[in-house]
Amino acid sequence: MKNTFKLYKATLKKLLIPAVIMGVLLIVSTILYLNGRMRTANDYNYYYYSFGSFFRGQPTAFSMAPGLPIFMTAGAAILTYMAFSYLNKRNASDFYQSLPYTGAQNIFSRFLAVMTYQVGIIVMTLLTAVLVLSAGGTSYDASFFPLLLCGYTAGSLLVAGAVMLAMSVTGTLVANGLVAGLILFLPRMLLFIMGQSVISMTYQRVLLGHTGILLNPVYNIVTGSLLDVTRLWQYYGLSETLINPGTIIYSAILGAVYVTLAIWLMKKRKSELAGNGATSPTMACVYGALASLPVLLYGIKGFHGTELDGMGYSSVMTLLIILAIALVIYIVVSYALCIKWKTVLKALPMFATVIVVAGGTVLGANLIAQEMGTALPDRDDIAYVTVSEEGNWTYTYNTVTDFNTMLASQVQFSDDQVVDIFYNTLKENNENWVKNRNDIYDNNYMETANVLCEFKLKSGRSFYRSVTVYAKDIDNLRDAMLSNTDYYNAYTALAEVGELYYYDDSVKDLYQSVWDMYKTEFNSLSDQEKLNLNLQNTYAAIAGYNRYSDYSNNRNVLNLVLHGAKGDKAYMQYITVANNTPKTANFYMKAVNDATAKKLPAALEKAMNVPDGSVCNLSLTWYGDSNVSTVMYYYSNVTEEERVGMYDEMSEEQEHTVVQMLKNASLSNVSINSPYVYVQLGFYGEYTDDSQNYEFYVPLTAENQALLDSIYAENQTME
Amino acid sequence: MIEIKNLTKRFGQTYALNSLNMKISESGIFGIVGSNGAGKSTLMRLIAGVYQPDNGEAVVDGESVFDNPKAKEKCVFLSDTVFYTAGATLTSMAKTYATHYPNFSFEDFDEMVKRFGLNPSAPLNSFSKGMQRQAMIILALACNCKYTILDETLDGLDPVMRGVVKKRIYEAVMDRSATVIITSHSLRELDDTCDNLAMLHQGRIIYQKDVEDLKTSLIKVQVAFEDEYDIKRFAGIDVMKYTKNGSVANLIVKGEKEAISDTLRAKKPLLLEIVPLSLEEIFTYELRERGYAFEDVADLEDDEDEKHV
Repeated sequence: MKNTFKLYKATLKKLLIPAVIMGVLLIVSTILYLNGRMRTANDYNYYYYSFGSFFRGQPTAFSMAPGLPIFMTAGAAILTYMAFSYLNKRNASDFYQSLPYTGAQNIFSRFLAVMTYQVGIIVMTLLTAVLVLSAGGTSYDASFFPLLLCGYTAGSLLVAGAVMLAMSVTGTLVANGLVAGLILFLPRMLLFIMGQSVISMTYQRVLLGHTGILLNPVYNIVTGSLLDVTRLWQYYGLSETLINPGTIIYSAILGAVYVTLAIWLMKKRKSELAGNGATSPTMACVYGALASLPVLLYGIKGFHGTELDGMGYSSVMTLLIILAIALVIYIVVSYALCIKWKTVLKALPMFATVIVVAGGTVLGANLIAQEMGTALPDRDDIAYVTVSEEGNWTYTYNTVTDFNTMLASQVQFSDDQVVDIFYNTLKENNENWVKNRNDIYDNNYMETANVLCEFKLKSGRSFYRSVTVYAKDIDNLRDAMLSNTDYYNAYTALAEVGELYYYDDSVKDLYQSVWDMYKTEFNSLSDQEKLNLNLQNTYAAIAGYNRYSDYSNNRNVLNLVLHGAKGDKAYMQYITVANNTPKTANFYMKAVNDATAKKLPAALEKAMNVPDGSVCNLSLTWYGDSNVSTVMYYYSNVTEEERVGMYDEMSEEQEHTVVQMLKNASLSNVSINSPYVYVQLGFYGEYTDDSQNYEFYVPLTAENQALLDSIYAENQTME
Repeated sequence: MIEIKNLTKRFGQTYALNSLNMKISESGIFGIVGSNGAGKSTLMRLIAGVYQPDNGEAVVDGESVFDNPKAKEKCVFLSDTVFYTAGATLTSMAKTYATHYPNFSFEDFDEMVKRFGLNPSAPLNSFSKGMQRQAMIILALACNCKYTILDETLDGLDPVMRGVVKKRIYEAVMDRSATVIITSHSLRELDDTCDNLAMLHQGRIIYQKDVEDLKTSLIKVQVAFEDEYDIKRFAGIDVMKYTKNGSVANLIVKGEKEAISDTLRAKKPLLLEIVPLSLEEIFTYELRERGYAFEDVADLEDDEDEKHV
């Protein structure tokens, strides 16, 4: 113990300068980044979308300290390499191995020193982020940090273990890096490519996040983060990857296995390996073969599920080119590690193994897809079903969920009717997939609803599938689901938002007042009205089925985008201020008119005599007795010849008539439930950035409506 | 005492050491000579606990040395190539050694730095190769370990500095009964230095003896007689080599100097001169007697074209 501590202290001293440099860079960059982000956010009052969450709602792993994911990988790799670099030099290796320590003491104390700096720098960076965020008044969930620390630590452990393992079997920097990369990424890449093929072959009915630990790259923090940062694949955001307890435990265990194996191999490592790429020329060729495997795997990914007789000339040529590239990589890497052409050429048949392994993944992916595409749990084993009504695209493209859908997705349906419908639908999906492969909709895409179901089994295991509910079942299913109180309440709740943020600071107070009024009006509605209102604002595949057409017939005066967070989950909610909340709509329309009233006469006068070098832009949207709107435009810089064919555009003469009508109109007594015209008038410099914009609502008298309708009809006739 | 018991070390299919047995007793200087590839450095690394033996063991004071900090603490090892950390000075390296070796003496270190005339604050990479080697010797000797293992450390030092180093090594042996093990590919490097010498060839010890015994066991004799004579004149003397130029014969004779001198004087020579043999000459004849050609076993700088008996 005393010996280990002595060497640990010596290694800490050795790594001090690089660790301090990295730590200072990381902390300073975090301060600058957060400061910049918060200043920008305060200036413009809008949210930053960043890797799956919103900055102002809940700082994410990335937005808290963007350098940490890089440090987790690069920092651990650099410090581990420096701690064990003596293994690459014969004289250094001799020196350190002759010191009065056991091999295990020597290796373990170095490993401990690396992890001390890693954890220390991660803690300090996170603390810095917390302090900066607190000082800037940004809210965050404190329970998020211990998990984040564990996530980054597990990732660092994994990288350190992989680099140690690589250094125990190689003796040059190039070989260290290559083999560490292979250890870290190759197994997951192989499984990831297979997983992607399974997803593709099952037509996204099975999602990558639900293919178990092995086919899900997220379970390895390093590969998960890399895939997320590079945007190669995002099931979770980076935050979710780093704070997922399953991911942390898996990565930490794998890291510990790497470190233990590395200690065992380093103890057996021969000094003379220093300076040599591999322990033997044969091993150099093995590394070369492994290095060529990713290219081949990625290259043939596109051929998974392809029938041999369906391969054309170009496919064969592509395959040959991929093979040639993989072969070149095999030869170059093998030669670089053993510097013996004779050995490389003699071991050329080893490349055949690479081809066999790559081919095996195609076969394996097909078999897994067949299994997963037809898998069905026993009906009696299902305890309950949870449903995400945003469907599988949400999980595939990592979009942010909305408030009501988020609540609804937490509801557990255990009643027989709902479970039976989902179970039988999944069974039907499976049968259609076997029958038609990619066309599980059975040629009826528009009349289906796609949802993501979690079938929770009585054993505690979860079985996830993207389920396509057919039109014949949707009404029954919706009624059955809405009879569940929790589900009903989820869709009658109002989004919880503390504060509104908008890009345009001038409207912030107005929007806040509108939101406050909306809340009051919403709470005064009946449950059924609340449900209808929310389902107009929310995409819900089952509960909101066919609601889109109702939404389009509303008199819509304002869309608010709200952001909030529950725990580490951020959500985004669209709110439409329309005729179903008349008080709020009228309040907003009056506020808009009040803000414009004083400036309007001069603006209308300018619209009659547009100065040279200025362009006038007029848009009118009017509602008569129905909710169907009519729209007309005018652009002052469009010639009469260009205007031909644009039937919803007015001529200059027509524009003058309309502006005259607006001059005579009153801005008072405008109401959402009475006929009105919504006017947008803008001027901008033809050659400058100057612009002035005005918007207002004018009550639509019968006389004015007749005038607008006649101009519109006239242009229609011209066309 | 260091005991090498049935020690075998293999690199791939090549045996660097093959079932080697030897003993190195405490206090004194033990030289190991062998040509390149004889297995000297491998043996040193095994004694220092750097390598794990494939078979057998290197035992230091009764304890197997590999992976044994207690045994390793008694040994300091200087490899045939100099090692220092990036940007290190002699002082910073001294601190490094002091961290790991509890008997490291900064007093000895300072004294040796002065004696060798090295700047302890200068970066070691600014030193010449010879100076770097001196620096490493200072560090090793300042560790005050019971066993100091120097792998070809004297090779490459200029004669003056070699003398200074040797003197310091003698002092270590005299003052604290240290045991110093030195290897060299050249016997001349170890001439007048070692108490014991072993010759390593193709992974085996082919010869090991006390130097004092060695030097007294063979003598070189120049002798001339008035009348004509040949080798038969020396019957009763163990002549290993006989050459004759004119009336003067040169003999390499095995045996006690006094006894041989008395025997020859009794034959009434005109000239009788007994001169000491260099260690290299002694080895040459000893090895030939065992069926080895010296030039195969250790490096020779001069060719020898003398007639053999």
